[in-house]
Amino acid sequence: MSTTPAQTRTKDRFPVRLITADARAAAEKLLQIDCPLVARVLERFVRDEVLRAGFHRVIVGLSGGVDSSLSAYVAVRALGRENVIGVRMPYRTSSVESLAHAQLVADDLGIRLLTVPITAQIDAYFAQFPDADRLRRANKMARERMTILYDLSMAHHALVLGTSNKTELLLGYGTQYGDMACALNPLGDLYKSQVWLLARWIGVPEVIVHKPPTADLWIGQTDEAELGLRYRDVDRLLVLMIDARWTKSMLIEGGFAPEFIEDVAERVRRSQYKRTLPLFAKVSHRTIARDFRYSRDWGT
Amino acid sequence: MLRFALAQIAPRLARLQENLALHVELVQQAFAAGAEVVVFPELSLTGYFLRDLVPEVALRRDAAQLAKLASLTREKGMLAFGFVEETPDYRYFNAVAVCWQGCLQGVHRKIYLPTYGMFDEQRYWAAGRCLRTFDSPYGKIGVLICEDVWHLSLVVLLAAHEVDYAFFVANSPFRGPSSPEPDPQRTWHVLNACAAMHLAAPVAFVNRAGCEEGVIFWGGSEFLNPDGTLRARADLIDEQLLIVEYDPRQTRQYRISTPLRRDENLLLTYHELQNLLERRHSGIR
Repeated sequence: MSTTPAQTRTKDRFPVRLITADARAAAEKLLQIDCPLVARVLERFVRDEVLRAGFHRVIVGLSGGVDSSLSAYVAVRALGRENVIGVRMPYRTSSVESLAHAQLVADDLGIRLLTVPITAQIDAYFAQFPDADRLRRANKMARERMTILYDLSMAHHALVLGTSNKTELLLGYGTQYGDMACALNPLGDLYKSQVWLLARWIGVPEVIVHKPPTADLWIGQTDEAELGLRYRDVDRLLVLMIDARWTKSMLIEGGFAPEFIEDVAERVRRSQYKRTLPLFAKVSHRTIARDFRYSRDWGT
Repeated sequence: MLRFALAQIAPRLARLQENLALHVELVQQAFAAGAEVVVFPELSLTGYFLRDLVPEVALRRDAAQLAKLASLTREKGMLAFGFVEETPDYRYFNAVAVCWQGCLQGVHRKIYLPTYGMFDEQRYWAAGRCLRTFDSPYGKIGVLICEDVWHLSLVVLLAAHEVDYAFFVANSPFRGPSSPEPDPQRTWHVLNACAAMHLAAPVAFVNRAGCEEGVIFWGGSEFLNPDGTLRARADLIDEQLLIVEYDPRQTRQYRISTPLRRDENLLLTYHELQNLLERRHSGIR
């Protein structure tokens, strides 16, 4: 799913160094969440922002993973199960387990579940580009799923609910205008470790919370193998680097390997474009998003 | 016995008419419940993330909308609510209107405009340049808006004005998810309690509720006794009209038992500040 050039990465690319007890404690304290309160915050967010936009329903792509499952659980608490639609969009290589887990979530929540396979259109497209590498194929699949969600969004008058977490967003581990595309995203300010905590508390089935995260874009793919990072480690680093504004020297003192710090900082920098609007050439005195500044909730 | 109504609302963004109607409804509801004093949050008529909408929703002091709300107090009661004030020379203030006896009696303009982190206020607002208090039929009232309260100098000035009640109105956003009590609630409670004790007067803290632009306002409006103890507190996050009874004789009891206000030496404060500023001005430290 990453749009960085495909390369073989192994786990633990970085020298194994234990972070200090102080750094660990500081990071864990910041990563801790009070689940009942956070759930209430996210529910109010989903309810208010959906209603403000003139909708009362959401649609969410269910991959069978923990992020999209959690989004669906939050949405049901916010809007009621009759107002949440799940969509499975399998490709022929998608794992049977992913499909089963999406079904498990839909059954547990009692929400409507649609299944729209993407094999035919993806294969038809790549028949023109037989040499396309797997990353191109993965990005294309993510964007194909986006167009389906937005089409169904219109058909069902339902806003597309996002499922990207803060770790993925900061690392740029997502497809721009693909899985990152949505109308609103309740998980965008929660690190992966926090997603796990909340998912467990809210009742996402343990089999989903516990399994290794995967975008399931090719057989055997796992996030951590592709990233060459463990979520637990990178969350600790990110929360200290981003939220607590630790400097590089503080992080090194905290026991993080300098190469690890640099790699992560560089990923965050390089993917900034994915987290912003496209750049507009300034020509007029009042340019959209630069000196034409209105909130999205303008007049609602 | 005096009854306060803390109107923890979630206004719509830049929808003056709807918000005005909500104010009218809640004031009537509060009066019907026996409240004499109704306090709304910061920018209660407009919502918070106005950005370029600031001039579009601004009202002059003679605006019909302000007169309409003031008129609700013609027969009884007192009202404080937030609005965007436009001056004749086109400055825009984050302001609180205070009304009684059917009239707009005065306005407090936000003095300290947070412009850091998630806040961008100095871009859009002019800063208030003075602190006024209001001699209402219910006693002398001091009003501070959100960031104002974080500058304890303003609390000291309210004490110097000898206020009987302080209204702290806010649009405080939720952040800090690690404990059941949101981080800003913990901080605000310390500020409110500290101010109440220093003022030897009750504090009504009114925060807004609901979500705007992805930001959740955590509510949790509260009323504190002059000794800083919590008298009543509204729910987190959701809307609520909290009615609080307060016996003004409690202020007397507190001031007798803890006569901090009697002993406050303003002249000393004044001279110390004067000396400090003179030295700083002349480069002596």
